Amino acid sequence: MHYYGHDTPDVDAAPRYPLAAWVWGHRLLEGQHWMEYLLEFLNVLAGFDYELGHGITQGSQVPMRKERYTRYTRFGLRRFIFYDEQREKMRNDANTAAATALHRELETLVRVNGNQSSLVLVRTLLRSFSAVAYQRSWYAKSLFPINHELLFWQGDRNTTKGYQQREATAEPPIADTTVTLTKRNFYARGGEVYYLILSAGTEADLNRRLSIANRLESLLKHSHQAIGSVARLIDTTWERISGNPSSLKDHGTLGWIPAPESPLYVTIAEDVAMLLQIERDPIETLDLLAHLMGFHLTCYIYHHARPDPAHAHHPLLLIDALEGADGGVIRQFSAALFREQEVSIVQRGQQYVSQVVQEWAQQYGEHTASMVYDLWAQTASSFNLSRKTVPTWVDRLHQQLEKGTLSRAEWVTQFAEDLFTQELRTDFDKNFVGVHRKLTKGVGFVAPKMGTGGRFVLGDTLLKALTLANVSATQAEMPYGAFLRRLYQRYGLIVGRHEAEHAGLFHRQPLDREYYKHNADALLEKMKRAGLAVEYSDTTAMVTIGTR
Amino acid sequence: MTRLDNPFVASLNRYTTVSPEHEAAFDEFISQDGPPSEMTLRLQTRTEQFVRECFQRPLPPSIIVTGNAGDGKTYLCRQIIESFTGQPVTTWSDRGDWPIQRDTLTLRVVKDLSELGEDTGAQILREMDAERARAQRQTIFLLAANEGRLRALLSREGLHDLYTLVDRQIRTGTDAQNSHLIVIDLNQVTTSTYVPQAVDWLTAPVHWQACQGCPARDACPMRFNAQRLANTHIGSRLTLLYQTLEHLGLHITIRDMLIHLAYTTTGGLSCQQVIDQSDQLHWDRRDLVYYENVWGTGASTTFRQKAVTMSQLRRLQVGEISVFAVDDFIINGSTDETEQRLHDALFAPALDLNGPQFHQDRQAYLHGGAASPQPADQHPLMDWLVHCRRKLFFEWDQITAANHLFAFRYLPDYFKLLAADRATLKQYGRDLVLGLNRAFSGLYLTDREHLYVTSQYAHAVEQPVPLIRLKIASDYIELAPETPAHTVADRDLTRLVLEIPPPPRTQTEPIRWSVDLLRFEYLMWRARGGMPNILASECELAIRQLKDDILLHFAVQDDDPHQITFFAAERTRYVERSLWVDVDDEGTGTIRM
Repeated sequence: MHYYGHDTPDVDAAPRYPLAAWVWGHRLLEGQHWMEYLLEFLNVLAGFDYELGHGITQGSQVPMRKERYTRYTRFGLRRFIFYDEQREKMRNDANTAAATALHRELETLVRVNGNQSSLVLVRTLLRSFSAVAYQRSWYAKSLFPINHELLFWQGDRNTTKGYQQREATAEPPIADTTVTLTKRNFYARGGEVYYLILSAGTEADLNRRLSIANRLESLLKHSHQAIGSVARLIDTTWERISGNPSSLKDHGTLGWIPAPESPLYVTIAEDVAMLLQIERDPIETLDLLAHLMGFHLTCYIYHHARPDPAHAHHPLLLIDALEGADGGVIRQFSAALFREQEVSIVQRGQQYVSQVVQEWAQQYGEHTASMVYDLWAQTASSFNLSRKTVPTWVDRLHQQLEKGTLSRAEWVTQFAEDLFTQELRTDFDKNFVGVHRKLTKGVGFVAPKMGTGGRFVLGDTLLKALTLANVSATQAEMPYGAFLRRLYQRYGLIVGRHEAEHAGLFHRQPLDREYYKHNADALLEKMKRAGLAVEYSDTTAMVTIGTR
Repeated sequence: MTRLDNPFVASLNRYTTVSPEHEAAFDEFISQDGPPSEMTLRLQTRTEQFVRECFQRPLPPSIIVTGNAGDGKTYLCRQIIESFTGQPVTTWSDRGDWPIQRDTLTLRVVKDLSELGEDTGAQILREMDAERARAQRQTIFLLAANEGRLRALLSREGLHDLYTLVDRQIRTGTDAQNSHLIVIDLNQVTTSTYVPQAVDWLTAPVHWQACQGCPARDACPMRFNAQRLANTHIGSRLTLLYQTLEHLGLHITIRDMLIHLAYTTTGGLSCQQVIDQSDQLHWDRRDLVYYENVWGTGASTTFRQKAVTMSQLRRLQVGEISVFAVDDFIINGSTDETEQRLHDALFAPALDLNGPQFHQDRQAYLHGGAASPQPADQHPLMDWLVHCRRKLFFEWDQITAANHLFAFRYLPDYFKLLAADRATLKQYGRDLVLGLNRAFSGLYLTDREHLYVTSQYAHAVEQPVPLIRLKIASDYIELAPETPAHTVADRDLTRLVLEIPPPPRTQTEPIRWSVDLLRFEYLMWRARGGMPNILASECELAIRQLKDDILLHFAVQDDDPHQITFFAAERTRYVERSLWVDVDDEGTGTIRM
């Protein structure tokens, strides 16, 4: 397998990673909130000075200048916004003292007027951009970056020995050192993966690469500058009173993604470039981008879950636009296809395990007595499993091999199966399989938002984002039929009759073709209401983003 | 026994059953095997008149007519041929292309481009294109075509100039003065204009003469329906339903209208079925009367799906929601003497009330006492309510009360505004501004003196603080009805338009936003409250689009680096607040309020 990124496993001497990282890159974690993919991505991009293509040591043809990206700390800013004496989870004297000192200093810079302190108002204003709903400590919360000055890397408690003791007593600036930026529990590299996808997708089109990065830079630096100034004032005030915290700036290196040549990456880069083409409300643009990212990452997961990477077939993603108006016929079929995707993710994991075990087993030639244990040692090391004790299933397989009850081929297959089900499956299910469920529901690609089950839909914001990513601003209109065809060809989305037919859905489920026609009509109706389509007659509908 | 079938009923019913036949085009509907009386349906359309006038000009232009299947393209061609040749067109057979010699000019009538086959169709378009370039015009065309086919053929043949001409007129409207080519899009026609004509035809006494002597004459729901529908008040209510669909942005074809009106009259019954059942004592005819047929109450699901008008009308949910004034009138009548007389007349035993059954159920409910064992909400009278509401919708002269039976709560206001004075429009304009303010910000704002275009994080988890991107005084925002004059086709549709002027010092055109019934309902709901309408919530995206438009065109991209304006929560309401920020690159400075 070829990889693209930094410290890729094919150059590492003894790489040790969980199963998902080998197939889907390093890495997507279930704990990452769907909005945090955007936040992490923008942090990485800003950390590379708003340029794509940096930090990549393997797989790239284009030379890069920077290997590591900067992580913005902005401890003063987040302390001011999020550290709340009453509500804070990780409250302690040092942090309270730090927050009080900062507030006192800021009071002198803010002209109070009327009965409401404007400092409270400033805080409420900034706080309204809190990005993630979870109950977290002040250093682990994030802001929706409507301006560059609001970007900072997610922090965590520094659990290194010594720090914890100092945490309780320390005076500023030490208070800041009790927070570390190197843990990756919420910014778990999903944003890095997207940075890598956009870089890989623009290897052959450096103009597009430049235009994406430039548009995002101007979006973050030139909009809401006054709010950016407020944030800067707060943060530098903290730097001034706390000593020299600018030295706390941290750095990070990228992970990797598989198959750098994948055409999907080009598609994704094209989408982002087109979405950013038109100037609109910056907050809206970022929200649209967040939805598009979630959708893209889902496509990415499905893409690499295909059993044979050489095979160019699409996932079959039937969109239910009828919302039950057909008695739930399309809905049920769509739900079945959603379950199918989940199954194929697991199968792909299993298949990868079986493939590498076969390859490793071949090294041994004629079998030796220790072969089982050698193979176990190798797999345990590669997949980062504990090697302290040998699992019983390994012992059992060893005995079976000794007795000769299994042929060699049968035995290798058995080894791979047991390895997957006994050792890898739990972590794989817990940390990876759910990612696409979380992403799809977050961005409105799968309904319902809560609860079990799911079917593919196109929520309002996602539908808008997909339209803006596929219909050029310079080309006035696109026939609705061509739009549906494009959604199918690019992502495997199926709405209407032609696509269903081409995808072979008629053979799988003998549904009347009328259902698909109604489905396409329902989506068109929705797009018309949204001002995304115009219908000239019953045969001519156009998708348009031309405003007015 | 001799059968007494009314042949008119049989001919109507060819279109009310789910057979391929009912998909026959409008032209066939009225010509081949048409109604057996001398009185065939003759619709007077403005389009026909216009086409006639065009061909009488000294230098007549060619005309292309586009529209959906069933919009009356072929019908139009027939009328033109008949009037220029003086001969009736009895059969089209294979005459897709019908040349008529007039003085030095040949008029070629092509009734359907798609029927001619790709090559012949392309040939005609090429000839048409060539003719445009000729100094001395020899041939003019009347060409009926499906728009999609026309576009496809034009671009396949590379006839770019012709394509552009056609495209421009379809987009921006017919250029009636063009001396070369005029394109008429029948999609723009408001079919409601033809409802009275069609109803007159359906209910004409001559069509129902055959019923004389039928044993089931007085028990026949079809005849009952025809008699009631002939009433002008009831006819106007039917027209209102069609107009409502048009205000929701829907286009109904003439064919769909005829299918629907035919079913409304017959309910899919045949004379034989009526005669067979008429002597049964308890024949429940409630679901066979016109005010149930109109929504297809007794129709099969398949037919409802195929009958576009019906499925659209069902979405209006007329009568499904209880309105106190209406229900009270149905059950209790009125204390006012005139009103009560009206009640007596409306609810007198009749076919649509199953004879005396409604009267008896009502009496039992009102005076039943111990004789009425069921609890009030299970009383048989409750089964009558929806039925009677629908009856009142058509038959009650209290239009204001009856109009509350629409699921659209603000529909009466909407229709009122289409002909309102400036003061009323101004007042509603402010309500719409308030609705927009709340829709844009997602907050319960109370200011209707300004339109605030706000921007905020859509997934806010803390108290939202919308940033104010733009503020426009309501005094300058105009709500006005607009009735474009149409000489080319029947388009009798007044639209409400909200005109939002650009902020001062912005050099650009105002934004004109059409407020259709859905948008009106949604914004009024935002502003005044009440039950949210499910259909109206679908226009949330359209309102987001409006916000995008305003921000995009009124150029508020020039970000003010020193000022932040936003809504802050103060006690029980939101107040506009500003911060002035003066910070240098080093991060030192001050914030003032």
